[in-house]
Amino acid sequence: MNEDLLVMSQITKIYSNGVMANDKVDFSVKAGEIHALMGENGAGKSTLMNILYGEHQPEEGDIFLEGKKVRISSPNEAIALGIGMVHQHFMLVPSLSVAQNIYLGMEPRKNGLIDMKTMIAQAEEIAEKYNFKIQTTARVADIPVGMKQKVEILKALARGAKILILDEPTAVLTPQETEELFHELMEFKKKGHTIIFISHKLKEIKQICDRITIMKNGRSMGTYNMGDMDERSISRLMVGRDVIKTIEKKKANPTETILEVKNLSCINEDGKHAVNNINLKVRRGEILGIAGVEGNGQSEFVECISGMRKDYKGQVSILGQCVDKLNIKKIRKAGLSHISEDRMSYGVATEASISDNLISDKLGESMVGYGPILSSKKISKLSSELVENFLIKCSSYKQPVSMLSGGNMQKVVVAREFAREPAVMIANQPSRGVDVGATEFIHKKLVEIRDKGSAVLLVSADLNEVMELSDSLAVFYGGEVVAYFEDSKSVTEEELGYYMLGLSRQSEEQIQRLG
Amino acid sequence: MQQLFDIIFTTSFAYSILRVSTPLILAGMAALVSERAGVANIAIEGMMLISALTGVVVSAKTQSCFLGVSVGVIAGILVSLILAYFILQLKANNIMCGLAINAIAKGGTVFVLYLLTGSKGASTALNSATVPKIDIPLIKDIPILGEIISGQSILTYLAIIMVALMHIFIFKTRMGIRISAVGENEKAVDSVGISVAKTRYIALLISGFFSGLAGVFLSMSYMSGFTANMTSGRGFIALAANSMGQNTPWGTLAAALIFGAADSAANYLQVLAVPAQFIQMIPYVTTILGITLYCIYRGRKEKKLKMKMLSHQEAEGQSA
Amino acid sequence: MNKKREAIFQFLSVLIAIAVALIVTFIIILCVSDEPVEALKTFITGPLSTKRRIGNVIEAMIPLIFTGLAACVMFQAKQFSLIGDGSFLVGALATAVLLLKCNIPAVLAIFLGVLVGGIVGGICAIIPGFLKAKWNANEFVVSMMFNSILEYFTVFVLLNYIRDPGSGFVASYPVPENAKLTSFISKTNVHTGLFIALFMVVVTALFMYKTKWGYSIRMVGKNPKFSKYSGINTFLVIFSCQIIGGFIAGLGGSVELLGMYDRFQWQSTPGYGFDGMTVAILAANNPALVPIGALFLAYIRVGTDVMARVTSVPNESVNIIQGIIMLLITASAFLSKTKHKMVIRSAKDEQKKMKEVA
Repeated sequence: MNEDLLVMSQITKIYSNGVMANDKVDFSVKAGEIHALMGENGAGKSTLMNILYGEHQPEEGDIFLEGKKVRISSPNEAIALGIGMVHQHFMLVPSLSVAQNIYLGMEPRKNGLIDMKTMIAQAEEIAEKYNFKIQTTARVADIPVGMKQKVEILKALARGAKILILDEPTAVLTPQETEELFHELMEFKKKGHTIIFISHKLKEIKQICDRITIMKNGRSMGTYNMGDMDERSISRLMVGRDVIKTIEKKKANPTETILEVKNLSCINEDGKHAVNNINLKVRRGEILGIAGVEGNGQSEFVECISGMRKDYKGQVSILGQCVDKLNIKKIRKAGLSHISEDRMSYGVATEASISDNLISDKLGESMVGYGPILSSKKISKLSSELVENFLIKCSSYKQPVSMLSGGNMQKVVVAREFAREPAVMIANQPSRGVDVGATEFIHKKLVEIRDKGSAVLLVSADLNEVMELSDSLAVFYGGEVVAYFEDSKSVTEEELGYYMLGLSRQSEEQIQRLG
Repeated sequence: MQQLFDIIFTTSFAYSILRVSTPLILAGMAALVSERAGVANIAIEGMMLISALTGVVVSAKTQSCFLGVSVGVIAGILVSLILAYFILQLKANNIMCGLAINAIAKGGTVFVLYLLTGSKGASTALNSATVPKIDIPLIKDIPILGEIISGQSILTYLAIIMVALMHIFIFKTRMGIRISAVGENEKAVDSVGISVAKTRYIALLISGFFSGLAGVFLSMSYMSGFTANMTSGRGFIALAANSMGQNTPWGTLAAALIFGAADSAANYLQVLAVPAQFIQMIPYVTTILGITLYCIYRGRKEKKLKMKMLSHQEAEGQSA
Repeated sequence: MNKKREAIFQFLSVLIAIAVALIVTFIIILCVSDEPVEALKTFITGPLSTKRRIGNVIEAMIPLIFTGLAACVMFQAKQFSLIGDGSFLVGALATAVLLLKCNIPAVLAIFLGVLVGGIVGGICAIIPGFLKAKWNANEFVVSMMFNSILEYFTVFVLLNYIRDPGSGFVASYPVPENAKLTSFISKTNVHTGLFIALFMVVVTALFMYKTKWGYSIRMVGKNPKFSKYSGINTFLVIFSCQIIGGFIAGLGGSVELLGMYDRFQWQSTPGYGFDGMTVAILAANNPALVPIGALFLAYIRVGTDVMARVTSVPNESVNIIQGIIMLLITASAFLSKTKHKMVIRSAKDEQKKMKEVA
């Protein structure tokens, strides 16, 4: 129990876009423990675990298993060493059955063909052994998220995993499912399995982990016994500053309604009822924060109002103009700006230059040219101004965006979306994967634009951010608004947590004040 | 109109559908296995050409039909190996690579043909073999059906058998499941330690095998000899047939038969008073229509499903 | 890792691809030719040996510039359409029909002839472009099929409407003399179409880099999700870039007809659409570099032609060279290992700098 089962020493990993994700990280795990690996988004946890699972190769560093040095150059080798990983995003084949997914690549055979009967029997046997209730013949596309995760875990166990890596396993689960998962994890521990549990939820970690390693900015901040740490000390190590940091802003002075959403519902790609009958208003001069655990419909909600998603029911209007049938160009023209949560897919075109990225939403305006012609002069003036005002660190605005750090990339997005002085600003996870300095800067800008008379809708999974920055606050849970606070200062973090986890819910009257 | 029906409702027309469809069925299987693995094989056309010429040359030199077919097929597999190397190892765009291989094949076959025969058009100077046609006992005595089904080339029967084998391979074997899984979610396959690249290699090699068979059929059965650019777009029609057949062997077979019917109709209807060129367009028009209808259908289905779920849930909410 | 280094990499990879393709060709020549040294020599120096042959290179370059530009515009939006082939053919046909059937005044003949060729070329691209933009039907396969339809259509029109029965081969009546693009270098066929081609290079380059439309095309190619999110109408971009491609290819068809032929006589596509793709790849999709790519391809084309005439090596060797070049240039990863190392070096440099600043 005291021997280190697994040691990773001095691991350094640089991605091909130049980001240094791990910088000389040391990490060790004892046999039979549940070990938490904690850190903010982008701290390098997933990278470290992907290296352990053989999916990435480190530039420097060694891995030792039971004292012997090992080279893990592929997941295959990790599996052979008894290491299994359950990814944050499920690695399942939707059109195949549960049993087929569990035994993918190692299906039992008879006469050269897959023996379905035996396979299903085996799948049921292993599910029973670990006390998983699961229908092995169902198609993975048809089962709920919690069930999919169980398939992932069974996949690892069926391959003889002794060390199980779980990457943010609770992010997509309901509280009941989470409880169930924790129960199962304790079972594994009793059976002698070792678990590495990646999370950024303090309470969960306190509940089930024995030790904790904290990461920040690609470095390890040390490993501690859970009993020696309280939540404050953990969070200080994690973010390197007191969690509670006030953002300077005047009291909000909201006036007329600018963005109004009525009875909005939509189905997402998984066929899940992601947004369920949401009513909401954002007024001029206020920041309405939307808090909630990720995956509770916030993404789909923003996609609907920003025009990225058209297959929804309900009405969206900006300044009284109904926009739900308009295309994105017209919605933007009506006064909407939108910082996307997925910077790399939507926020920027990485191969294009900074100035190309700054003008993409302004083609209809006189800021960038005359009629159909682009004016280099105007663009260069606009770009230099934005680069200067938004403190984008670059050698020139002609540099491709791919050469910038995450924080500076986000500043490019923010600069573009702010430049038109929008009526409504939707900021979806505006500080995700961004360094402290850039985060503060973005926050300052959001307050600034509020004071200039915009309505700001802030969606964030970062409690600290959403509590400090918002004037009023709504909580999303299961695709619905479960709480609304006119004054965000009137609610404590703890109270908010209950709503976010679906443990409590305000009365209908209270929620209806929002819409 | 009467004249049209007289032509279409004949046993010889039905017989010719099977014959004309054979290269499409085989090439369709080539499209299927590559598409399932998530790398559309644009080079089927080129592989067919190379195999067609190889088959003719080898059979002429050895006077063995069997050797001609085998070496022709091997040539297809070798070309697919090159394609796979560029797409999978060097991460090149599969469309551009396919086009490049097609260009090399189109020019290269004529190049070799000219060096061997002094002609850039056809291999008439080579005395190549053809794959024999066989009568099926019992079936050949059934009226109408016998005339249609019996007496086809061995490769035609082989093509039909291959469709059945592909069905088993895709849905009942480890490798088949892996290939489909790679196309659907390559990370899923990677995460359980199966090599994505290796799986795709195998899929492309199988694709080369079928392209080879299709090519050999063209030059050693459909015609007896090689002519320049004799594939005339069949490799691309096969891609269309496969997407209409929704990536299933039997579906692809059905789509290939439809395109084959259009093609042989083009051959048969030339006697009508319609300009020949319009008749010759039929297979290509059919293909474009097929692709379009399939794409519209696919788009509608997804949207309908979601809206249906929404109204469904709404109704439930109201009743509750 | 700055833009300059990136550009150097791209340039190097093109050079290596060309070198490998030529080496492979030399090996093939060595194997098949009775007099390999002579063959090689004519291949390399043949195009420069006489004034006429130099002229041949420039003549061959003109249509390649048009279809190269067409491919550039489509590639910039990541649309792999082969419609350039069909548009080129039908564009030329439309010009021939117009000039033979309508009585166009001499002053307008060239202008209208070329313009109509372009417009009809653009019309040819409507169906594959629309099917792609609206229903995501694979533009490559559809354009391929549609080209076959256009070929038969061309034959139909040629045989039934403009064929000259007095001509010894299948061809139209002769195109009116006053509509022809005249040669301006003696002893060659280098015609004034060259200036139209170069003019189009300038126009296309300006269009791609100095207009909002061109900008939209480039952004959709770089990241369609980003473009959609920014409010760019991706449907219109995907649809229009193919029509513009068809238009430029159609112009090329008419210019080629009016500059090089007395009669319209194509019964199948001359294949310039595909050649245009090779040119675009050589030019890294930059319209301004298209003339260089076209010149290179024209040079090896004339080289293989000369070689075929002098020796026993057939001129299909050019397709082999072209294919190999395309294969190698698109195989971007053959330099990626070095690239990865350079990125790491840059990242470390940058961190050092940051530390120093701090």
